[in-house]
Amino acid sequence: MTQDNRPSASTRSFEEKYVRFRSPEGRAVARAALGTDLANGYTTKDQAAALAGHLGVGTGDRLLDLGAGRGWPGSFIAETTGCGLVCTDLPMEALLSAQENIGALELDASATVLVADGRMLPFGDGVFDAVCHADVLC
Amino acid sequence: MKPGGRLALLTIETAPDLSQRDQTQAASLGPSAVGADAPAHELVRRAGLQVRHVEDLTAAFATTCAAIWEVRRSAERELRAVEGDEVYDIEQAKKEHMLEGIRLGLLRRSLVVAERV
Repeated sequence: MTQDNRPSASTRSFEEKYVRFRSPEGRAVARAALGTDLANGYTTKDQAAALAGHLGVGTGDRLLDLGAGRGWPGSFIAETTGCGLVCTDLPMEALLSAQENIGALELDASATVLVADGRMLPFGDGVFDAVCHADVLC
Repeated sequence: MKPGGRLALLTIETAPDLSQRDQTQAASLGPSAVGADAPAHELVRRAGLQVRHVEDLTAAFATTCAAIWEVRRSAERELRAVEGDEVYDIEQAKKEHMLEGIRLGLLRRSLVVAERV
C-alpha cells in the first residue's frame, strides 16, 4: 500500500491564501484592519495582548501556537513575554511567513516553526507550558 | 501541556441552541470548520481541561470583519492585481456572509481559556 503525501485541497487552498498574506498588499490590509502586518485571521493586536495575559507565560516557558498560520499571535506573545515558541501548521507558505516574522522580531534563538498536523503532533506529553489556537481553518 | 499549563483558544462557532435550519444556515455563512456538535468550551472540557474563562467576542469580531472588508475594498484595484478577480470577489463575499451570520445571531466568536489540572 502506498501513502499519498500530496497536500489536501484544503491545505493547497490555505497555501494560496498565505501567498496573498505575504504580499505587500496583504500585509497592508492586516496592518490597517488588525493593527500589525504580522497578523492573520481575525485576532487583533489588542486581543493578542489579552491572550498573553490569560496564558500567563514568561521567560523560560514554552508556548505552542497550534495552527499558527503566519505565526500570529504566537510570535507577538513570545516577543512581549520572552517565552519560547513553537509554531505548527500544515501550509508551507504560512510557515515560511512565520519564519520571516520570527526573524524580523529577532526571536530566532527561542522560536521555531514545524510542519505538523494538529491531530498528530510530534511532541511528548508535558512539553509545553501553554498552548494558543486562534482562528484555525477560518 | 504540563499540569497547570493553560490553553487560550479563539474560534468562530455557531451560536448556541440553534434550530437545525439555523445551524445549516450558520454553517453556510461561516468558515469551513464551523459546525462542531458542541460549543468550543464544551469540546475543551470533554478533552479533560478545566475551563477557566469563556468570553463572547462577537461584537469585536463584527468590527474587525467589517474593517477587513472595508480596507480590502479601498485597496480593491491593488488586491485584484495580486489576487485575481475571482479570489478577490470570493474573499469579499466570505466577509459579507460572516457579517450576515453575525447580524442574524447565527455566528459568534469566542475566547476560551482552560487549564490542565
